[in-house]
Amino acid sequence: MSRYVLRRLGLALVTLFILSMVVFLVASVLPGSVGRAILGPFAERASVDKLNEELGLNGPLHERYLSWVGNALTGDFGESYKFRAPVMDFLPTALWASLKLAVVTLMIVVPIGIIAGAVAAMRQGRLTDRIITIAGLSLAVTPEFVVGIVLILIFAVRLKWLPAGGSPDGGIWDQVQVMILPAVTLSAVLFGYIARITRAGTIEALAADYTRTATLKGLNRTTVLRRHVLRNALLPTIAVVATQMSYLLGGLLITETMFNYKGLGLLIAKAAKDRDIPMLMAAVFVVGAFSMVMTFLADLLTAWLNPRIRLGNKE
Amino acid sequence: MSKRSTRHIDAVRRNQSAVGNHVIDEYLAGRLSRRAFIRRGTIVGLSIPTIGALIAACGSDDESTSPGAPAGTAGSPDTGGSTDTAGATETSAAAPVAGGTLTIGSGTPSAASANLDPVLVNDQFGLVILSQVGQFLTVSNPDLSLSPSLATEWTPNDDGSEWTFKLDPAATFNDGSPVTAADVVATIEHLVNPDNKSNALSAFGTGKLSPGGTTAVDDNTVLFTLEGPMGNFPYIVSSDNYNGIILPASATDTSAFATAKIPTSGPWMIESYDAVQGTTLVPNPNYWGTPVNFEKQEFQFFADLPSQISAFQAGDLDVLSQFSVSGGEALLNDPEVNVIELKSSAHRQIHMRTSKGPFADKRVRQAMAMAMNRPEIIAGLFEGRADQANDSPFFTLFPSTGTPKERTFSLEEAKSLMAEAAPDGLDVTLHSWETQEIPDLAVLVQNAAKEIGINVTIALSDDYYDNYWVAFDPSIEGSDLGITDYGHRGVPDVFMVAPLKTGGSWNSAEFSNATYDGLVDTYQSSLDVQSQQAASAQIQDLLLDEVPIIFPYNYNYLSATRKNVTGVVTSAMGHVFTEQASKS
Repeated sequence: MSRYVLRRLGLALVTLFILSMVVFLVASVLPGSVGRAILGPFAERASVDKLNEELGLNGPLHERYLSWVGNALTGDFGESYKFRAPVMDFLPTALWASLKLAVVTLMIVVPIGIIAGAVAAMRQGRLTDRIITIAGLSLAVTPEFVVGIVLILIFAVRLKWLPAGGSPDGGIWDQVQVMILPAVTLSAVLFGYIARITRAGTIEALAADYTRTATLKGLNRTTVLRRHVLRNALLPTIAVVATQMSYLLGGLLITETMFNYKGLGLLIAKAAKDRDIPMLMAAVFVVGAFSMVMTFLADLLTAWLNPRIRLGNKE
Repeated sequence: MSKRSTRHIDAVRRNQSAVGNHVIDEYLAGRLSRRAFIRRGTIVGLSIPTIGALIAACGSDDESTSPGAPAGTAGSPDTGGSTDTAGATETSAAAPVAGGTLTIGSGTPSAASANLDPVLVNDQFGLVILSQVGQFLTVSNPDLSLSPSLATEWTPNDDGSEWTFKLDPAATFNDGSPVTAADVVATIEHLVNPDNKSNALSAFGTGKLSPGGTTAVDDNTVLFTLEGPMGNFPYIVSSDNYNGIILPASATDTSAFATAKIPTSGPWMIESYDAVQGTTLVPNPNYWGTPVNFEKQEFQFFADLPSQISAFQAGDLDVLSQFSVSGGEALLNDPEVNVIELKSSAHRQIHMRTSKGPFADKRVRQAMAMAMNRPEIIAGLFEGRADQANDSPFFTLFPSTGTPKERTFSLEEAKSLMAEAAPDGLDVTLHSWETQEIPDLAVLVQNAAKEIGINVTIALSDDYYDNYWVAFDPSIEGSDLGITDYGHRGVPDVFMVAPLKTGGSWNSAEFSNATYDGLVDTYQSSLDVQSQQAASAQIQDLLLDEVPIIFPYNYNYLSATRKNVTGVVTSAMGHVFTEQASKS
């Protein structure tokens, strides 16, 4: 197991290094001048040139990259071009906001998705199965802005039960109120994936020899489901949830914009638009690193649940 | 006119400058309407009581407009009472309640405006907060007249090359210290210094003010010595200038203005600021004007307009600082909403490069301008909430425009011109960027051009202002055809100079015409409306013929408040004045 962990860890570090280079290169070749983006379209040309010089943007690319990596390794992601303040003054707040939204979303969608998927599998081919499958597919292909707008119009504009948006500040209830609509929007999008994967895994596990053996041994149905079916059926679901966690952290531009939720996705999009390269690189790097960690943890969990995976190389 | 009235007018005239008396003469002679007299009179420094006294003495009945006295001693703009086109919300029948919080939705300040540095702020989202905490020398009202703010009066010398501003001796910063001429000199000199990368350089360039041109005569008197005559100079130091709030002379570093607690003189102070989320303001305890009604004021920043509108409709916001027809249709007919609609000079410019390429031939430019059916464009893009513009910056709302010289739509004439100039047709690329209705306008330009044999490829990109707007130097491509968005100004000077004068800093059409340059100089040095209209008529004729830029329309500026909010005053520049606002 420890060898497996070390191997996965090494792979994650190499991926992170490559990610840093890609992010830096992409940020550097974004069209437009940083000075112009900061000072605005109507700024005098001389002012733009002067600012570019002050920001050190005229130096060679590799020197700028090495300098950035060197500082990033010490936790210093530099100063935002836009805010003229350390990137770390903004990143943790956005990361925390996105994390909270991700957790609330997963708290809603994971149990519902797993239960729906398992029920669909156990009632395979019946009406319940069809309803769950069609509903999941329909929600998965409905753009999140459509779901979001419908929820806003009903619950915020018409009924005025919940705010139309905002960021999670203040007391817990205030925060929950703000997060309900975006979390339900995201849950609608993710529900289909999780339910389908769970359904497929459950169907496979139900047909497996070990399930038949457990049933023939006389175990009751609940024990068979809990110990033998779900434990095996959830392996692919864990991988899907881990992948979606990365999406929930940095890929929520549309949902965050629609609900004016100041998370990491919005921060990344605005940094790209404003050519705020230090902010962009740091934020993408954080999302990448988080994604690595989540995938790594999912791999460990999967290996722990299924010894065949961690012993795969030896065999 | 009775003898008593004549004596009264004579008494008023004795205290006025030559320029002020000229404006009075024009009004008495019937060459200025009442509205134009109010506007022109405020520009040359006639006080509102003086203007009111003269109108009363003359008993004029040409228009119903009355001179709006500046609201409060601190010189906030006229509220206009109950009309939604005067920039103020209607008065509610319900009694206003003191205290509470006013919540305002706004776009997120740009990179330049993110720290609210008054030197760098370049958009309305930064400006709207600066004008809560700071004050300008004068305020440009929704009707384009000027009101006193920190300055109580201003007068030019005989040719308009020097302007003297008297400060209100009662004005103080929020630390209790007085606002003095030294503070004004330091603020303006900081803004005109090219080393400071000020966003106001173009405005002051248009205003002919250079470093060293601002001096203190005494503690309450400031003298602006310009490079040449400039009839509209008071607008350059008014609320029309994003960067013109007056700061203490000691405020030499304003880069962290949002959090640095630099003293300001406005009704509000920044309590907390988050460049991503928004800001909370509290009343200035040492405010020298009328105290505000609210305990707090919050600005919430939004990434886009639809989310702002949703929040406003849900009741999360009291005021929406701006919205557009496109996307804001639901608000226009909502009985729970006060819509404030202002005529504005905000517009789009479709430049055609005159120095080389397919538009070097004047006939092609003329054909493009004639091929655009502007009434249809306005109906389609703005549901009629815009005015036709006629290929010059003299929009109908500017008094100096006089009788506008109209561009007529004529496909036949356009095709005839193209048959002479380019019988085989032309291929061009239209450059711009994606904001508000510009992508739709680009398609309409493309369709119009197709009718006359010009094949237009649309290229919208975020680097428009870097690479395609103006060929600042030989390494930058510029563009033969492009669309640029311009915000509102109370006078046309900036629009006449920067994009059209030879060597102008925003001259994307690369237009160079000595006659035009001379006419602009004549216009700018004119101190009365008649002279300005005479120069304007010639400029309009010239631009209709040369067409370096198609000015298709100037659109109305829309803001909204909830029905229970009263007294909010907006401007087409993006100001939201809440000094007299209340909620019931």
